[in-house]
Amino acid sequence: MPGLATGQQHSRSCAQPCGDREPALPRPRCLAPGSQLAATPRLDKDHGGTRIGFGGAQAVHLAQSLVSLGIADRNDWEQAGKDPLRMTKTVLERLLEEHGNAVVAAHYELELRLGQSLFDYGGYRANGIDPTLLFFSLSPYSSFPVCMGKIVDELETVHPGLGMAAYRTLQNALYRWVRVYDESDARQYIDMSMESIEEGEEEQCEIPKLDPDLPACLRARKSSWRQSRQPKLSAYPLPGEPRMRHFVELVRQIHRASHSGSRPDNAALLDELRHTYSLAVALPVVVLHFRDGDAISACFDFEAEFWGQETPEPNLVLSFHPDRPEEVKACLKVLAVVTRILALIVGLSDLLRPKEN
Amino acid sequence: MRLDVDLGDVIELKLDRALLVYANQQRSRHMVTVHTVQHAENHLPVLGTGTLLSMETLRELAKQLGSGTLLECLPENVIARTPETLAWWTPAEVRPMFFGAGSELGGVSGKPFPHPPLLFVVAKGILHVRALCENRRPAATSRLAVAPYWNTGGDGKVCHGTMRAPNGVSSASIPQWETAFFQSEFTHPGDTVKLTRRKGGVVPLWQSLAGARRFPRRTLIAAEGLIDYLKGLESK
Repeated sequence: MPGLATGQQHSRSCAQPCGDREPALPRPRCLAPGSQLAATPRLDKDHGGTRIGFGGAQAVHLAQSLVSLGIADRNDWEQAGKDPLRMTKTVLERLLEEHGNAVVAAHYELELRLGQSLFDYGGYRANGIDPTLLFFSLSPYSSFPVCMGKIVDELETVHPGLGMAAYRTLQNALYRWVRVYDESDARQYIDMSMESIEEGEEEQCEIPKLDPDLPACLRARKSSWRQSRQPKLSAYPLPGEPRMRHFVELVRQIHRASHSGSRPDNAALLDELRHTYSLAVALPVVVLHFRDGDAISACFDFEAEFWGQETPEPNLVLSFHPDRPEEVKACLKVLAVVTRILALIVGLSDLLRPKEN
Repeated sequence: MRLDVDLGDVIELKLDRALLVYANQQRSRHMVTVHTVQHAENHLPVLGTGTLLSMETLRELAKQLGSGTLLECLPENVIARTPETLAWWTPAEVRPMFFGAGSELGGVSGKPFPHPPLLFVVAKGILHVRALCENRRPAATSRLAVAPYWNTGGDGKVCHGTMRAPNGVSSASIPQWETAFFQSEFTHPGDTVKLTRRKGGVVPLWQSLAGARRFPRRTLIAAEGLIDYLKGLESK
């Protein structure tokens, strides 16, 4: 690799140029008896084995970009055995680690895929999509629950409106980057279930009731937060009680982290992908609910049973040209933001979890 | 999060065997031999004694590996086909079912029941059944559901018992397999696992559906994806 390789690279070319092929072999007719096959030709050492790369050209470009950005160095290249794929993976893992991926990996089932196509469809790429692009895609295998009912109620008793402001701030901070399953999804599921019930089927169906499980401040306001004149979280003073104070600080931190990066504008790409693939709605990375076994959890469980019929849309899609360092840098910045937010959510969830005696 | 980098592979390949092609000057006669390879101490590979390779040998090998399926045109309801496996689907429909006399469902035996769309799979001579979540031909990624039938396990395996199962897995045998499934008596729960979300289980489900026209989809329990299910059966 230019800039790192100390030895000389050799290109691998086709031994038989196209257009100059031998005719297909005719069917064998006269075969020699096995006893005459005593020839033991000797081969060169190079015929004994080799290391061969399949489709690794873009990995080389990406590795070069990582080097030019100063994210990878000669040491990484040497430690990876001069394998651009291995080096790229190691460097990206290190980068995620620096932003809290150890915590994220321990609490979420998330896959961050880097590939030449968005999905593992045997290399199939949608028409009309630049073949030199690489994609990062983030998809969950399960959802991380955050139970917020108690803290929202507690904050409301300290300053009316504070509980809801904290909840909505958190919700919107997450919405910017990942899919969240919350009370609005539960309400939609319940409405759809009620519509599809036929007369006489009511007793057969278990349809959760949402409103009794919502904190009072959310129950009272059915209009959207944006429509209402809810003050921002920063407008409220911090509570004096340490746990509540820590919670509000964490939500503010998550809000700041969420707004520290710009979500990539790849609407056209997503439209093209949706047109090409039959994609289901993205699976939620986080579930915001209010108490164990509440209506939101129940609706989530009902819906989750039928997820996976079709490939879900990833939560996050980042496309970039691996040979353009500025594009690589922008993607890595987004990944850092998302990793940081998800790690902070774990801290927030730990804070809300009842302490065992 | 787990990082999966799929940008190709770099793998170590070691010379394992060699095919040598011999020809006369006119290239009218050929011979192919397969050679093992020995790696000497100096790492120089040396070809071992060769054995003959003929087209007949290749054909016989392919046949023994199971590619001996007879040519046939597949009907539209066939989902997958290998020499040992046949998978097809049936749309939701009303069919009669028969339950063992004296069983909890004996009282509704012979009545018409609405059935969900179904996936049938004959794998290694055993019938398996899963319900489909949507009334259309499933795709490889379609999510399946547990089939809520007696004599059927949570994995979809049908207890054949005295059922008159047809021989073979040609597409022509599909109607016979369906007849064998629906016209045999369902006599007992096939498994201890939960087969339906209906309160009380399979018995109240079918009791409530006797004479009904539509199977309630929300009573189905989601299972694996279609391709995973088929691969699972193939590997058993």
